[in-house]
Amino acid sequence: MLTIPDFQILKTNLASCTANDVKRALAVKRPTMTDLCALLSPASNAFLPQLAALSKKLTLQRFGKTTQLYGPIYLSNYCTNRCAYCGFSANNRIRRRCLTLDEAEIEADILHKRGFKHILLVSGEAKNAVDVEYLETLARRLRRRFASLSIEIQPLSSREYRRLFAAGIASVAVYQETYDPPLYDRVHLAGKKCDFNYRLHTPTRAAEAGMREIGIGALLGLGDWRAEGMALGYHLAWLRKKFWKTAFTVSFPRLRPAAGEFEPFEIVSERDLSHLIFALRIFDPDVGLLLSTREEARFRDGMLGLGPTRYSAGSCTAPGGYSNPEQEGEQFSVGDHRSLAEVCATIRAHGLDPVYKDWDPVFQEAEG
Amino acid sequence: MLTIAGTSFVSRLFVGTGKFPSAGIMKQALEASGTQMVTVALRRVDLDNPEDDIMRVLDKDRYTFLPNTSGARNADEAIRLARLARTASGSNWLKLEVTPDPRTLLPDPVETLLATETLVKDGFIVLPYINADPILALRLQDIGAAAVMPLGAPIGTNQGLLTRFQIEIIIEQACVPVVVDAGIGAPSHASLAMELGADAVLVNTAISIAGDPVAMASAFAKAVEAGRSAYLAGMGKVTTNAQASSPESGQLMDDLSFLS
Amino acid sequence: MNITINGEQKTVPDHITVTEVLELFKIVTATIVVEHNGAIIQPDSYAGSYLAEGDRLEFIRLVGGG
Repeated sequence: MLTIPDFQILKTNLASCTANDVKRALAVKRPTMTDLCALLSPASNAFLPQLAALSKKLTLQRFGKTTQLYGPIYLSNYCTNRCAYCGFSANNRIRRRCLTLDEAEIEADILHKRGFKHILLVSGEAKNAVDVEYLETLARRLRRRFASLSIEIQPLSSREYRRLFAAGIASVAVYQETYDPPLYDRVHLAGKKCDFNYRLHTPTRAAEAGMREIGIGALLGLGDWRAEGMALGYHLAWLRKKFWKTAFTVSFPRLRPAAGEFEPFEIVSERDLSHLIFALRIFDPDVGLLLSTREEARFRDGMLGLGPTRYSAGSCTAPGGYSNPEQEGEQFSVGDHRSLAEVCATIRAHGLDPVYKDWDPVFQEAEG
Repeated sequence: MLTIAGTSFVSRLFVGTGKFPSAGIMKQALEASGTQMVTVALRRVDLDNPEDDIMRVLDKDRYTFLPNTSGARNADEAIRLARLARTASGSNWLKLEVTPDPRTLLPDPVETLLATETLVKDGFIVLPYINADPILALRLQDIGAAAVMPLGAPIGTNQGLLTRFQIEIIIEQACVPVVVDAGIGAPSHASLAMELGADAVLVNTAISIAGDPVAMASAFAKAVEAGRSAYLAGMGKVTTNAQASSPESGQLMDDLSFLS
Repeated sequence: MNITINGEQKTVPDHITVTEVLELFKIVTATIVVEHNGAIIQPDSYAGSYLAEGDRLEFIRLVGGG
């Protein structure tokens, strides 16, 4: 049973941590939830340099001097949900577009030519626009060209995830946005996304279906980032115990300006974001940590080697945006506008090796 | 309280009944250990000496008997011994031991996995004895093993937790109790296993061949309790130096200067 | 007739039952398991299990072990 404690309890525990708790958490070999709490607590603010150093050391140990690259393809911005914070919200007047399979393939080809081997297929949550058949067909077309295909779409059933796995999708990302149920209800105003528990167990269903990698995350700017960090820790630890054959990643989308102009409830600074990343790295040295182009180039460059292991580059968050850079209808505006080549050059300049390919579809062949 | 397959145990020290100098000393040692779970083996009755019977000395009401399949070299032999054990003991408890190499007595992972699958389906409470292989432990757990019993060192070597690192991984990942079995040669080894988070330890040789097995059994009981208490009290090194005198502190501040 | 008990050739009277063999070798039945030609037989069957020439019996008991 996955139980995420009430946010009031999490906040109380966080507030009660002392400097000694933080020192201990930095010294233990196998940090527990209590240690994660200390690492996320207000008391740990003063220890950011130590957290950074330990995070850097653990990342180097587990991942070596590499950073993996991936490219997102937005297939559709149709959405049946009304989420207060999102550019795709059903009540936002934006130019809606859903790519045909051919158009999606053209976008994918552009990324392929740029050198991407791992792509993330993203869509708003609208079955009429992007459904399982669409994704199955698209996956079969694309699987030969890319080392791996991930999806970030509406939550599906285990059966549907099994179909997609057979078609060539190896990884699923689904973010709870906030692990605080009352807050969740406040920002999810209509649509299937309103069901907190259904969404919460999407990673479970995807893992049960055999997906090789699951991505979780919280949208920073909604709830207390420290408590969300704890919730992520609980979720990750539970998933790991239950699905030992599955790889996991955590993503850190941070609210940026979007159509509809939602004001974040909490201001999460870059310092806070780095703090959260370091704490999770120390808590779970093996988890993949993603930093997307939502963040500024300066910040992303500074974080290289300190914890994150996967970067997107040259991203466009509007469907068809690679073919047509003027394309409207973005989910969020991008902070790092550099091309893949520029990002890779920076990665190398930091003494790291940009990894284009870390998997191969031939491993999924027998199951296909 | 330790629970395995619905049965609760106050004592986290399991004891073997082999290699004792006499049945009388064995009985006293088991009492001194406070154990509630004892392992036994199966052998042919000695036709020339049919009265030699350990079971007369052991109180069925005091101990849960855990017959082992020692002697089995493959899954089929283990399954046969398991069925004999069930009839002999009257219960479904089984320590699955498949050891094709008589010199090292190391467990065969493949045969152990195969036998576990069959025996679990046949209603046995299977506690497989394995090398400290974390993946094997997970596979066995997935197919219904009631606990896993990773070795600290080969049977009878009394070398302590040579497999410490892997045992720690097993403990971290396990969803069933972990009983460290084999290789525990001293109470301090048992204590260490418990400090690492093991749910119980199984000790045989170290007690039975000690100069005074009864006293040694008592020492082990104390060690297991001490280790468990320490684990529950929260182990972890606390550095006294606030900043850990990191010479890189200056370097670290530069590393974070990119933050806006 | 000749039968094998615990791997050893033994001579026993004809038409003997398992119960009688156990008595013959002074084995207390409470703590043993009997295999007759590879199959475990339950204690309530001992008296009714007649042996034939060449039969194999195994008498197994619990002993000390780790």
